[in-house]
Amino acid sequence: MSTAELIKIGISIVVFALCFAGNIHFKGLLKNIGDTDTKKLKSLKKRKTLCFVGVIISIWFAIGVFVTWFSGRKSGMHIEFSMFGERTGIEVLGMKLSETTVITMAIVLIVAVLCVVFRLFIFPKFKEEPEGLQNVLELCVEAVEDFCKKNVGEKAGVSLAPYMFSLAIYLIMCASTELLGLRAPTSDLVVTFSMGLITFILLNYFGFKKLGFAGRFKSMGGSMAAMRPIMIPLKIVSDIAVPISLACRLFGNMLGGMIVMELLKGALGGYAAGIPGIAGLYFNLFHPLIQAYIFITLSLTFIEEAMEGPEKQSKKAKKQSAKAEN
Amino acid sequence: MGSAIAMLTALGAGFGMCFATAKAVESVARQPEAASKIQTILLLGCALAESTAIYAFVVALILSGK
Amino acid sequence: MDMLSSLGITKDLLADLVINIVSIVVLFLVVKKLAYNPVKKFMAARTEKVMAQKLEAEKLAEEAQAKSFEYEELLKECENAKAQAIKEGEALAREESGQIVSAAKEKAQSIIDNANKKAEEKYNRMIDEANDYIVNLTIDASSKLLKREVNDEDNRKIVEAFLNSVDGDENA
Repeated sequence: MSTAELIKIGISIVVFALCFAGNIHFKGLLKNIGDTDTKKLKSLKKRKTLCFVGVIISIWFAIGVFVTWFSGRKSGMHIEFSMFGERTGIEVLGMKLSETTVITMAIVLIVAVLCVVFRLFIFPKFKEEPEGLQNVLELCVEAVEDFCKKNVGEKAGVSLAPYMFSLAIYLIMCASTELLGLRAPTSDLVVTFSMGLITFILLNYFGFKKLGFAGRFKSMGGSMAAMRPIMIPLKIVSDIAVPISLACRLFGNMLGGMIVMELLKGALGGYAAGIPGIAGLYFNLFHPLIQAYIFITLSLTFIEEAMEGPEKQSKKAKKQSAKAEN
Repeated sequence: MGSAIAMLTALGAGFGMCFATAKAVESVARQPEAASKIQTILLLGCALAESTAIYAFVVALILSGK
Repeated sequence: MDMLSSLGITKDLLADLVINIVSIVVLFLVVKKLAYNPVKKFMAARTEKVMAQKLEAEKLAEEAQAKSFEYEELLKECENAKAQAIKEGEALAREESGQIVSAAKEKAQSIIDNANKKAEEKYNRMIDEANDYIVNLTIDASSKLLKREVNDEDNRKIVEAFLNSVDGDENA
C-alpha cells in the first residue's frame, strides 16, 4: 500500500470516528431534551442526520480505497458493445450459440420447472377463498385478460391473453438476469427481433382471419378509392416496420440501461460500492418493467390496428364528417 | 463522429416527450378522475416519442461498431 | 446468403433467431397449459358457482317474496274475517241481549201481574172473610143488642140491605 492510500484510509477512519461519535452524542442529547423545544429538536435532528451521512460516506470511501488497492482497478475503461450476444463454446448442429440464447433457454427451462411445480404442488391446494400466492396469480391472470380484451376486443383478447401473460413473465425474467451480472437477453437484438417477429406473425394471422385476404387490403387502402395504390404499399411497409421498431425499441432501451450501468461502474472504478445498486433500481428493475408493459401494449395495439375493418373506418370517417358539419 | 451526430436525434425525442408530458399534466389537472387513462396514453406516447431516440442510439451503435 | 452476410448477419444469428422463437413458443405453451389455463378454469368454475348460487338465491328471494305476498293476503283475509265475526257477534249479542232483556221484562211483568192477581185475590178473600166476620159480628151484636129473636130471614134481609148500602157507599 502506498502512502497516498494509507493517508486516504486514515482520513476516512478519522471522519468515520468523528461522525460516529457525533451521531451518538446527538442521540444522547435528543433523549435528554424531550420534545418541549421544537426548534432545538429540529436542528439537533438535522445534525444527527448529517453525522449519519458522514458515517456512510466514510465507510464507502474506505471500501473504495481498499478495493482499488486490492484489485488495481482504476476509473475509466474501454467499453465495447456488440449488438448481439457473445458467442459461447456451445454448439448445436454446427451453429455456435450466443450467450443470450443460452440464457433464454435456461429461462424457459426455469419457467417450465416452476410451472410443473405449480401445477403439481400448488394448484391442488387452491381454495375457494383466494389467499397468498393464489391471490397474486388470479389478480395477474385477470388483469392480463382484461387488458387484452380492452385492447383487441373480446374474441382475440381471450386467445391472446395467455401469450401476453407468458411474454410478461419472460420479459421480467430476462430483465432480472441482469441483476445476476449476466447480459440480459433482451439487450440482444436477435432475441428482441424474434419477439417482434412473433408479433408480426400474430398481427397478420389475426388480420387475415378477421377481414379475409381482400378485406385486409381494402382496409389498408383506406376509405378513398383513388388513394389506394399509394396507401397500400405504404401500409405494407409500415406493417413490415412493426417487428423492427418493436425489436429496436426494446433492444435500445435495455442496452441503453446496461451501458449506463457499465459507464457508472467504469467511471467510479474501485469506488463502485453501493452507488450502482441504487441506480440499478431504476435501470434494471423499473425501466425493464415499463418496457415490458410498453412492448405488450404496443403489440396489442398493432394487432388491433391490423384487425380494424373497413366498416369501422368508414364509421369513424362518418363520425368525423358529422362532427365537422356540427 | 457519425454516431455522435446520430445521437443528436435524442434532442428531438426529448422535446417531444416534454410536450407530451406537459399536456398530460395539464389534462390531469383539469380532469383528475381521468388520471389513469391519461397515464396509459402518456406512457404509450412517451414510448413512441422515445423510439426515435432509440433508433438514433441503434444507428450510433452500428456506426461506432464499424 | 451472401447479401445477408454482407449485412453482418451470419448463420449463427439466424440459428439464434430460430431457437429464440421456438423457445418463446415453448414457454408460451408451457405457461398456457400448466399455469394459465388451470387458474383461468378454476376462476371460471368459481364464477359459475357463484353465479349459480346467486341465481338460486334470487330464486329463493323471489319465492320468499311470493310467499310473503300470499301470507299477507291471507293475513288480510283473516283480518277481514275477524272484523266480520266481531261485527256478527256484536249484532248477535245485541239481539240476544235485547231478547234477554225483553224476556226478563216479560217475566217481570208476569211476576208483577201474578203478584197483583194474588194480592187482589187475597184482598178479595180478606174482604169476604172480613164481610163474613162482620156479618157474624153484626148478627151477634145486633142479636145481643136487640135481645130479641129475630128470624133468620129478617136478619139476613136487614144485613144484606145494610151491606148493600155499605157496598154502595164503597162503590160510590
